[in-house]
Amino acid sequence: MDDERGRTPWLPRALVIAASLALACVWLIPGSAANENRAVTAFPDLSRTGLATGRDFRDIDDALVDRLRVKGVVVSAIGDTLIDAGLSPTSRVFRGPSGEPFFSGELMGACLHRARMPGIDAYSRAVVSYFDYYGIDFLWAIAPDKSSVVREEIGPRADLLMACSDANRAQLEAAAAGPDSPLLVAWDELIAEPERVYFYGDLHWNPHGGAVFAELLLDRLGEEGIARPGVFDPSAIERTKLYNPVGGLFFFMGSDRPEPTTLLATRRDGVTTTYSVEAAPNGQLTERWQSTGPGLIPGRTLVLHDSFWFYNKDVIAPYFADVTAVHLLSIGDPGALALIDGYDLVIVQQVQHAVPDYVDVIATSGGPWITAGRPHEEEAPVP
Amino acid sequence: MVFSSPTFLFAFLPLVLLGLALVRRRGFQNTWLLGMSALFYIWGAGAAVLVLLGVTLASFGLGFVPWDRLRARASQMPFRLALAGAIVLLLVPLLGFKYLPAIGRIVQADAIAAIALPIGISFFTFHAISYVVDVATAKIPRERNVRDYALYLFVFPHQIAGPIVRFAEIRDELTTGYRDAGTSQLGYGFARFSWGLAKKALVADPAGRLADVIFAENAAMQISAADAWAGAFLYALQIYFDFSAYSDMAIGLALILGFHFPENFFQPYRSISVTDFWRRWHMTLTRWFRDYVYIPMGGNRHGRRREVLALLTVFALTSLWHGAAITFAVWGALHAAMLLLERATGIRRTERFAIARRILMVVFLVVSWVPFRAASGDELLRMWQAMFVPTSWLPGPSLLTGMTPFLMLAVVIGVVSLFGPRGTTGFAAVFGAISTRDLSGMRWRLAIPLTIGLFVVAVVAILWSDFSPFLYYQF
Repeated sequence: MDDERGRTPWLPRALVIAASLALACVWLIPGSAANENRAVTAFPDLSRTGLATGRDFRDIDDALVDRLRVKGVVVSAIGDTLIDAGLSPTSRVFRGPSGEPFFSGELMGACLHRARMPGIDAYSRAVVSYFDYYGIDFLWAIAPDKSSVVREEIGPRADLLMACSDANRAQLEAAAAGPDSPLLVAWDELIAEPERVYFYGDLHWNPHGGAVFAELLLDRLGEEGIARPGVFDPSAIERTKLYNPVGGLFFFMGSDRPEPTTLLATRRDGVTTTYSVEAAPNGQLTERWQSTGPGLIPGRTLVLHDSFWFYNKDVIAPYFADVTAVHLLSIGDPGALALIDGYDLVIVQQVQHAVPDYVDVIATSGGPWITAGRPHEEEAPVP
Repeated sequence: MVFSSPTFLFAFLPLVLLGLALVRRRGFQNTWLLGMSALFYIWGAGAAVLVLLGVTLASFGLGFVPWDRLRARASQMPFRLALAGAIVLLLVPLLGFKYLPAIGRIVQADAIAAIALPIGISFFTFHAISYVVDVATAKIPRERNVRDYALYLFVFPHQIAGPIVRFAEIRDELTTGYRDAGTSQLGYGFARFSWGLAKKALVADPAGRLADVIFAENAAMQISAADAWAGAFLYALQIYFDFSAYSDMAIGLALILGFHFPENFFQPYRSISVTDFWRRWHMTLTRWFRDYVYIPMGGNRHGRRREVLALLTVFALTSLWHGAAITFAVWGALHAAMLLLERATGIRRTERFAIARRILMVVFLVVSWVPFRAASGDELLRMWQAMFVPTSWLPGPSLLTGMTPFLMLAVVIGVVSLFGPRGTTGFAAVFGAISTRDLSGMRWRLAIPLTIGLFVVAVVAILWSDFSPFLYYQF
């Protein structure tokens, strides 16, 4: 391509320069960064170790990509286009024939836990024995997966998709039906509810679904003599505030469409409740409600929960004299829970597809701090 | 740094090209390219660049051994010993970094087990060995400029995953005259790069994501036959489309920089035999083993025993080159066994029953990639068991929910790629040019919009795949 004097024609050079500038100008495309529910990655403080291992360069890569605004434009465009077409751009979400989105992890998680499910009855009873040794009551409340409640929206592939989930549900229901089982299951009740109990664009139950489950939970405590029978009062539930969450399923699909709802809370006559919250070193929140008034469940209660708790905590908490709520993630993190001990009642509220994760270490990692300070004479039976 | 990362596409590549375009002096161009290639490596591997620098200086120095005098001696023994010593010296870092960690795990020496393999050291070492052997055997003259030689080893398009380029193939482009690509070379280079980028983003990555899920499930639980076959097929798509895409991008980038790299893939999934497959898969590695192991061991000209021994040696080395694990040994053994069978039956010399043999080859390749992907012998057995002795044929949730529009597109492209003539590549069928040295067949009217379109679509897919929102709740 050289001419006779060894010089190159101007066109290839101009093309290379133009292409290079065009590529570099991608950084200047305006828009908002993709929302990945985390802080934008900071550029690293360069260190000798970081440079030697290449870690600093990878961190720079991450920081640069977080500043590539065209990524946010692309993500939103793909997400919104495919959502409107009734499709899902990610394997994390699958959609039924009507377009109803579901969380794939519910189905895969069920399969991964399949092998441990036959032992769930024996294990749950062993946990009861463990806590009983310290004089602590225990209830394990299973929040149904959305897919197992809104099943008809999955369509003709439901049996294939739900094979593991159905089998796990059957095992949990069988275990819960046994005498003195600590398990609380609620598929039938939520399915029978005429009003919608789960969000459309999210995998969680909505405030109404959470309230239905709260009633079942308190009824169960009433049956066991822990709460006053019939203590739950549906008429005490009030709409508190509008809430505009972006559903997790939409979020996974790259869309930030909100799904407005109204949060619910219980306002009981004569009951005064104070609320406090403290961030543990691991970032999880430790919430505490202390109530005074008639008809409260006495003693101290610990609720170990997952994200479903957000939508029914304010309905449940005013029924307890003193209830502390800690995320299940903290169960193996005594440092996060140093402030809390001495409980009379432990409630685990956990979504179906996670069972028995977290709870399966209750004696080895979780038990010691839950039971700290409780009188005992010899080693407790380990589940 | 990988070619499909935003940092490469929108920062590194423009910077390299601008530097080359703005300053015309040959010396500066080589220095600039060497510096940027070193940065490319350091960006991914940090101080491991020092290992490669050692191999560079050692192999450059070995070029100055008086090989002609050793060759001229009556006895060839000193020459052979010196050459063997040179090869062993160059292999020391590769062998050390690649196999000491495995030994460390066996003897439970954590410090040794934790040694990290410098990225691309295998390719780097093979380049260096080929140079030293070619100089020693007088196929090429020794290179006297250490910068130009270092650029041969370091030049970033082939640095991480090949193709394995002989020094003779790019020597003139490295050392003499102007290297500037003309308009048609630039056009071809960008088209080939975009083609590779699209193959990676649209086929390899989506296929690989679901394959990863299925292989992970196989490690944790019993999966169905449908899942196992789908996982194996998707992995077969991933490894071919990923590796050949990398070669496409490397060849395209090299041409933009003014280098002609050899082809590395030629429709391997359209092979009619394993022999045929190895003429089409990772062709520069096959060529390397042929020229530096198989033929020096006697090849097929010294009787059947020597031929079998040479072949087995080549496959043992190929397996070891990929990793010190039983799974790679199984993969190599499968291929070696098939090659021997084809030689014994003479089937490799006939093209009869080509369609049936193409189908059988796809099945063989899907099955034989499983040991390449499985993390352990146990996982391999579980996967093969699920494929051949299934407990269920029904697809599981991962497969059913994994069928996103992106994956469907990947599978369609992958399946289509299995069909078609054996004598042309996908790129050549679409763009018209089959060789980087003869661009007369390029369909420019199609190539220009298609190149831009492929690039944009690939970048969109890459940006989407990078979107990974955190679970703000834990279940």
